Amino acid sequence: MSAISTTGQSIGSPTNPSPPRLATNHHYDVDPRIFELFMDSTMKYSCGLYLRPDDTLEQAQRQKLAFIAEQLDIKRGSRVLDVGCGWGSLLFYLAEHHDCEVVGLTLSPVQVAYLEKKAAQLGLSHKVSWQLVQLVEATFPAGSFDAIAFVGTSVHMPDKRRLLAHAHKLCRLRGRVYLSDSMYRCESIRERFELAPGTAFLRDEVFGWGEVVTLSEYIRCFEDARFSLTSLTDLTAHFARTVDHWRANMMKNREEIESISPGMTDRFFRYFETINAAWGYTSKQYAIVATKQR
Amino acid sequence: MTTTQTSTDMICGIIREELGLPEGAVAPSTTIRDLPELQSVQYLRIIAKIERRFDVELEDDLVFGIATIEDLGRAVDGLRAETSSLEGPR
Repeated sequence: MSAISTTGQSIGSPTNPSPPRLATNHHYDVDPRIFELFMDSTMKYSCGLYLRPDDTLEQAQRQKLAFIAEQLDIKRGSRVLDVGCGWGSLLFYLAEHHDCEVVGLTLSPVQVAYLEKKAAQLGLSHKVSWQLVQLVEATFPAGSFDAIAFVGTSVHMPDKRRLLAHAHKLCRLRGRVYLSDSMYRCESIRERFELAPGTAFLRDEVFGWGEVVTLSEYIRCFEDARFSLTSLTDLTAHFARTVDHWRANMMKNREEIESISPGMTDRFFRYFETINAAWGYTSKQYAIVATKQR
Repeated sequence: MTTTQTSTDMICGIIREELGLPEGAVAPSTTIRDLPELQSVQYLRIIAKIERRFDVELEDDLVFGIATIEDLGRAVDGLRAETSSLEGPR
């Protein structure tokens, strides 16, 4: 079975991964020890939420996880789908703090191995599970989830319209979707920078595959999927601070990272520098929350 | 449904009540939009009542298309079957 996006590009299937799908993994299949050496213990690889001037990275990430839970109106025992679950920060947070049943989707076998180990360590294997599949190919019954999250992951998924239509189907009535990601600041910036060297470096060399769109395009896709928009939060400044923290940690652990993967730190520094220069000029970080209701 | 009344019967009842029509004035095969003197506001109120009564959200194609009462009944049953298959210990 092969999925076709509106642009006609094949995005492959679990048994027959296409080049874009494999390309997306090339960043996330990097040895998790490297990520552990610049992120905090939550292993949350996305924007934090800074509430005080002296918040640490760990505090900011825990505050962000609490923010996501609040935005999703998570209740004790809620059934949650985390689309692009990474190393499980949201899965484990919701299982531990809200007794949720959480399913994560990832395309990275390295992340699955990490998740298995961490779930066992935390004693949460009975609350969390994951599938090595992309959302549009997942076969959950309609209305399966109280809440669905895309935390900085929709950028790696082609055809946002189809993606959100599928999320609408899997969401129960009055359930919510949280989506935060990097977006172009506006359409004219998108036209000007889509082919720029910095964009190509991030998209093709660092992440392997990605498609950044504007906030208005996301909103149009939410509307077309028949969601009602519930909230919008600008997280741009928070992401810049997050990257500053990652960069400082990487400086501190440079030797150890280089011993695992020579040349890795310079690559990451260039990536951090590129995205932090772009915030507010070419890109924004927004969180959108939508509800399946009239 | 646990009652002997089907969803289609209940929808007939909702329509008669909203439009003040006598028993037998509408049938499962009735196309709602063809009902004489039905105004669009009344039509949307009927749809809203059905959605609230069954706790479902009907597809736009059905709401804004040409549906018979039976079509709506079938759609309601389909949506309710999806939901009930998920109910269980939380």
